[in-house]
Amino acid sequence: MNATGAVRVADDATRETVIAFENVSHAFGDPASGNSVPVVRDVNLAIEEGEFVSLIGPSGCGKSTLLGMASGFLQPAQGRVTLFGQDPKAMRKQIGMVFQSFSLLPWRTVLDNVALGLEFRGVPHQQRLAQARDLIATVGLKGFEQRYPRELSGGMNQRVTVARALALNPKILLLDEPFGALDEQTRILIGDELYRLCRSFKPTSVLVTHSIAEAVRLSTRIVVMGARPTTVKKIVKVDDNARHGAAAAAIEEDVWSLLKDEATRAMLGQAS
Amino acid sequence: MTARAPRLKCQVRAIQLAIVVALLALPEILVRTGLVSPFALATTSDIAASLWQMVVSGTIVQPLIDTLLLVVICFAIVAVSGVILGFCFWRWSLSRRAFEPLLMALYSIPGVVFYPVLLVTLGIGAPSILGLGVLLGLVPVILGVQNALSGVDPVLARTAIILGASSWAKYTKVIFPAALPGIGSALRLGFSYVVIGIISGQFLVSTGGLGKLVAQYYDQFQVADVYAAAFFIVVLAIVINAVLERVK
Repeated sequence: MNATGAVRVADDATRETVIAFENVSHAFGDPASGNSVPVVRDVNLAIEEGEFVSLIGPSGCGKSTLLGMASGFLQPAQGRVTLFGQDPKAMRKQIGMVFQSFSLLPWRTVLDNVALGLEFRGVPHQQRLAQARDLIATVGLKGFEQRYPRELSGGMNQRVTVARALALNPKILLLDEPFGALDEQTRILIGDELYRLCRSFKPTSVLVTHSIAEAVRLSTRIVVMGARPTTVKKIVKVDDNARHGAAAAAIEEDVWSLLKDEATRAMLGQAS
Repeated sequence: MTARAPRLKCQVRAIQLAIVVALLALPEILVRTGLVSPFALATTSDIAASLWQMVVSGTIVQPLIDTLLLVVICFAIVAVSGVILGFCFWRWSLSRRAFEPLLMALYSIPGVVFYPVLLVTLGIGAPSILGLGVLLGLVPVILGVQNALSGVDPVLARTAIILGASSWAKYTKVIFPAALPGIGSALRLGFSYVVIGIISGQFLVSTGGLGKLVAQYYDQFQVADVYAAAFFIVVLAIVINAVLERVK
């Protein structure tokens, strides 16, 4: 596990492991044949405090399954997943989560959507609205507090979900292809904003993505996953000064060379 | 598009008006020309006269109250139990799988066939009429509520859990509000079935209400009155539908 050290604060050697996957394997039952289809095989991964780790791999390889386990919605068939050494279900209060699909409540305004988690946790009315207003301003949506999700673009809606997740000041941020439904330019802009937000909120983050460029811009480490049943193929470190330009291009090249074969395998596997 | 929309609406209104006029004129023509026996059909003018008589003499008032009262009671039963059962079937898939074939079967047969059973078990009167209304109205509400809840994106439930919602808050603040449009449609459908159930129940058992009124006139060969009462029910249905549309 020594090789997995994060880079954000290089002098801190006694960093706490926040999310741990230990010998995790998983399979789903196939309703058509009744067979069990292995999706995750023997994944070991320790994510330390303050890290931003991207999981990148072919479509349908099982990356989101790992996030499902980390958020306690799925139990691994073998091995175990822990948050701060404990069962994820018991640590849910520490988790903020952003999903790809539209997860705002359409009958609530932006303000009330961002305040939802605070409302569930019993924060008094005025206080939670004030906190929500602050966060809306932080994600650059000041002036849109009283709008409804249907009145905003996809990119703006996804900012609202990021604000909603950060409102609870989570120690862990799980991002399940959060920008997958956005166009490329919006995606880059929101990615940059997320990077900035993570710098100030400092959650330990896991991002599932298909975009190599996005992974390079955001992560401290990129975990390259194989085709189903997925395993960790390689872990690529990204230094802060390697997020743009030639250094970034070299890492992207490196990741793609690892990913290409897996993606091809996955594509052919799905066709058969 | 903007120029065509009002024109289209005008055309629809014109056709609707023509249908109403034709329907009103038809009995008058059929009876006066002797094509249909006056024992089978009354002229429009006679029907109008007896409807007017019913309204001014007040004979329609008590049956109307009897019917509306039972409809309201029955709908309350159907709405509450339908939403609860629909929720249970959605929440526990075992119960859904076990009961779905039965519900689908109940949905596709005329509930009136169970009327003799209701009559024997609940007796002649309001309980068996309510029973018929419940029998007709409950199944569409259960199925509709269950469908509306299944249609809610599972991501919303996960979001609620991650954000720290209690089980109660998850359902009352996220899942039920998200399913509300579908639940509203289910309740509206259920309401229509309840009205059908109550009026046909009153028609069959003849203890009171608009259904009894029609049955009574029918037994007494008061042809114009039968149609007048039936016409009154049609108008009532249109009014109720318009009100429900507003509420939605």
